[in-house]
Amino acid sequence: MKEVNIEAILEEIRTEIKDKGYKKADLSFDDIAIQKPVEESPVDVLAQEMGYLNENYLHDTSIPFEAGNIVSKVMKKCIRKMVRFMFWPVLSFQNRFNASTVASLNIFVARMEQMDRRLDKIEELQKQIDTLQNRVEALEATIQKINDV
Amino acid sequence: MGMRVLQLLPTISYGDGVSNDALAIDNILRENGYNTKIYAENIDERLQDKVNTIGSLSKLTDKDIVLYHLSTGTQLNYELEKLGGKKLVIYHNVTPPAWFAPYNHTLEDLCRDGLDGVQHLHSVAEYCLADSLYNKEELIQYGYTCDIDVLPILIPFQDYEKAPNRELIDKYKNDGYTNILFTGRIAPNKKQEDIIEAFSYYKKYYNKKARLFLVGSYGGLENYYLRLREYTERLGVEDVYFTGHISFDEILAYYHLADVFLCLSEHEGFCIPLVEAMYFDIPIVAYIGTGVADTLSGVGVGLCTKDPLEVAGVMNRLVTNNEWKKQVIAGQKMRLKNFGYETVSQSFLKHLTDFIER
Repeated sequence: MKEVNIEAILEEIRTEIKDKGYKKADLSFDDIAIQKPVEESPVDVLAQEMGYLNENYLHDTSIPFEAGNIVSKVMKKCIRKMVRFMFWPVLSFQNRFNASTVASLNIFVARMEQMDRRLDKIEELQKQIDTLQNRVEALEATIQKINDV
Repeated sequence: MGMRVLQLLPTISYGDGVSNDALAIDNILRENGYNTKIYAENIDERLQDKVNTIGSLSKLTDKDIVLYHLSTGTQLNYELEKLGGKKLVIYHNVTPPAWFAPYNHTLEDLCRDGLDGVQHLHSVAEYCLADSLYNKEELIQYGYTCDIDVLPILIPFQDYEKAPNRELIDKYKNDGYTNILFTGRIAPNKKQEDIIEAFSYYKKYYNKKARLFLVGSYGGLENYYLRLREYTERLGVEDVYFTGHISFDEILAYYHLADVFLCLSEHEGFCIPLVEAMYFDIPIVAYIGTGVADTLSGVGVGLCTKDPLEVAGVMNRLVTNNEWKKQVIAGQKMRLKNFGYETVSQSFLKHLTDFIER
């Protein structure tokens, strides 16, 4: 069979690309953003997120108005009082829901941390068992030698 | 007690290349009458009847031989010197940590530890076997002065004769589509984004009836996978399939369906999927960097360019030029013989015997 010259084929392809006007897309892989690296321990990530959630699960309706003059502040207070009947039940429900969700998540994270500690303990105990097993085997071998003598 | 030949590795997983190598070596040693066992720190539950925990390893004598599989960061890299016996290191390569830095700091640290371990073991190893010339040269760069021989990974070819997944075959076979395949973990060093880009131009300019199968798990690198998905969507290229972790019969099905195997990886120690592609008579188009060049050794269509338009053009030529395709496959068939189980087994036994007799 005839030996194929890959370089010659590539030259033909390059000519074809040029003649036919084949173009690369403007988009490059570098244009695609990378999301935050995944950490190995989901428990650590959860604990960090719980830190934020525990601080921020309640929406506070008594936030004072910072911007504006005295007239605009008074007007905003009046508007707030007038629409309070509408949003207060929804907000109240959402706050209760958030509190319950965060409480459940806190229990879940605590349980995961407890399980992690137990897994570490199990590993430690397994190592101790393996060491003791070796010692028992060594002692048995010694006893056997003594008996043989 | 007579001489024992014991294999040590940090983790033995089901279906993993290094693990399969250890299991195959275990078979060879047993078949040839050696007193042998495998020890690992982490053992897949499906292999617990074949592998022992490191903790159960009894004291070694000077007669014993330790075969240590070096491929990752682990405390074992620093425990090896405390063991008795003669040390033979089998080097499978450690991916440079920089590849993982943007995506997973844990993997990055693991690889950095791994390379520190490689460095540390240069004064512990009394003999090395490297999967490829690339791996051998890397050991030399790390200051290894002991003898180093190249020995390909042992591949269980008999497993590839198993039945492929029928459902996948029926779904995709003989529908007029050209199937481009790459198998390998979704990982930044394997540059799946370059494969997607080249495929997009192949589909756009040469063959609208084409599919790309990216077969491999993305566990631990989900954000790289998501980045690839977004890239695919924004490029507007269709018929790109990420399989994720799938069963062995499904992997076989994709090999049976493939018309071209495309590899644009920028770091490989050996690249078992290239040998698998050879086994299934799939013509290979590959960027010949790092260990890929050694594994191919001039067969397949080895490219020094990664220009995606040129890669697309090469794929088109290969698919449409039957004579060239047959020639490529014939060359790959010849090369495949170098990875034959019998050939590699005999080579391994010779190296081991020579080491024992030193």
